[in-house]
Amino acid sequence: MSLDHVEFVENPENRCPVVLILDTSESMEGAPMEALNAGLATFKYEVERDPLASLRVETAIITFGGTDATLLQGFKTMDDFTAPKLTAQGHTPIGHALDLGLETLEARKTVYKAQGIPYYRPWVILITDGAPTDGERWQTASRKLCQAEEDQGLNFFIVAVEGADLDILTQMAPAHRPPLALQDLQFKQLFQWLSASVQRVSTSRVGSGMLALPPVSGWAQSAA
Amino acid sequence: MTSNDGKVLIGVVADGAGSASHSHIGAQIAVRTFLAHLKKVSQVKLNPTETTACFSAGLANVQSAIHAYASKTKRPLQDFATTLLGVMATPFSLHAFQIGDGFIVGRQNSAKYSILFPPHKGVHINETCFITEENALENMNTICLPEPWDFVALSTDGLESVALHAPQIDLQNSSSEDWTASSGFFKPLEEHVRSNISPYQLEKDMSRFLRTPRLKSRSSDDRTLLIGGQITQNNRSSPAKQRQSVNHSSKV
Repeated sequence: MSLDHVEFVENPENRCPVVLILDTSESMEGAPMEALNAGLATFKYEVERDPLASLRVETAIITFGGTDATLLQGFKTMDDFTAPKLTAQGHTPIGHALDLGLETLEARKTVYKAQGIPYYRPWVILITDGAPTDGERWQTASRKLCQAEEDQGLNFFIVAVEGADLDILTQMAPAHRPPLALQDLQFKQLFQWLSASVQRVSTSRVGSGMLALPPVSGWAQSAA
Repeated sequence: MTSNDGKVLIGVVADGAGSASHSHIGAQIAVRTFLAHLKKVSQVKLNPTETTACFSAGLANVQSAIHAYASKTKRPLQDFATTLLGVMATPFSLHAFQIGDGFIVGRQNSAKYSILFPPHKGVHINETCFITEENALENMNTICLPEPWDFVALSTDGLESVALHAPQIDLQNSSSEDWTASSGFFKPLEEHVRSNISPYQLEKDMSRFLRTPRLKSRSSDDRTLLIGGQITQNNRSSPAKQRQSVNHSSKV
């Protein structure tokens, strides 16, 4: 018997997968990167305060800064999750990062199905202060994500940090959910909101298409 | 509750959506309205072919009652989102319907306990169907089992993990055959409901049972259970009802 998935024996709770696709390109250097790192630590802290959510919410981190995107951390529940100390460098390969995010998520869903682990609608969150530097790849990648969102297969959010190309990000985002513009590097508030949202979703039932989330007014304004 | 002549058992259970602000009111309206409908139709003999039409009419009554309340209070319909399931059991047949999650388990002709409808599971575990949605009627399951029945139980999804055995894999393609009712859960309940105790005592015992720490630790939601057993000697139905709420704000 394979012990690859012994985690589900130790923790057979339903899972709520969250994919964070984070911009670590050069332009994030300094205050934005510091605020993002602090925000990730806040996320761990907030989710861990809810014992049930900390067993159900599992997070993967994909970073993009340089020529390629990287899977920095595969899906981990909060006890295993380490808030990384990200550093900024290189270009902004958003297209590759979105592809890698979707691939990582699909692979995880296959594991859930094989192991009989029920799961909640996954979350994919792209955070960037730039525009894609890897050609037109973002178009196909974001189309796949938007289609999955339309089919109610996942929730796709785009958070635009100051300096981001809002025209392109608006084209990337689902039509009914335009990019959210982060105000004053309020990453801490963003991750508090994300933590409250996934806690709410992972502990209550919703109808098809219904997604009642806390307001984002504390940290963002709609970029549309 | 039973019909005026005591020969027909009717029972309805609703579970408001935790994500909807006034779902407790939606669930109350749904139960009250559907019970009134069933009380009315229980006075006439229901033909097996009329089961679906009867329950569809009941759903329409519930939807208009909730609609009227939503308009009066100027709230969107989805604030009242709730599941709804119910039975009408005559001495010779069992009629049942279900919209959304929860389960109905029955036992007929001394056979084993069986689940009447496959648990309503979407691709994602917490997504289900509510009566306030446009496609509620399409998502309503109905059944007529034209045989004498011994025992029936209705419950919201809170007790699913203790009362049902889920298939291990491929949840999306599961059918009612893949899910089984736990006789270890239902048999003692049925024996208890058949014992010669007063309805008052039965209700007290059920309440205590639903509050036991062991049961609470194995269920993650409100626990609502409605059970009925048919006592064949005198042809009377003996209903017993009890529920326990963990989250008073959103459940009935």
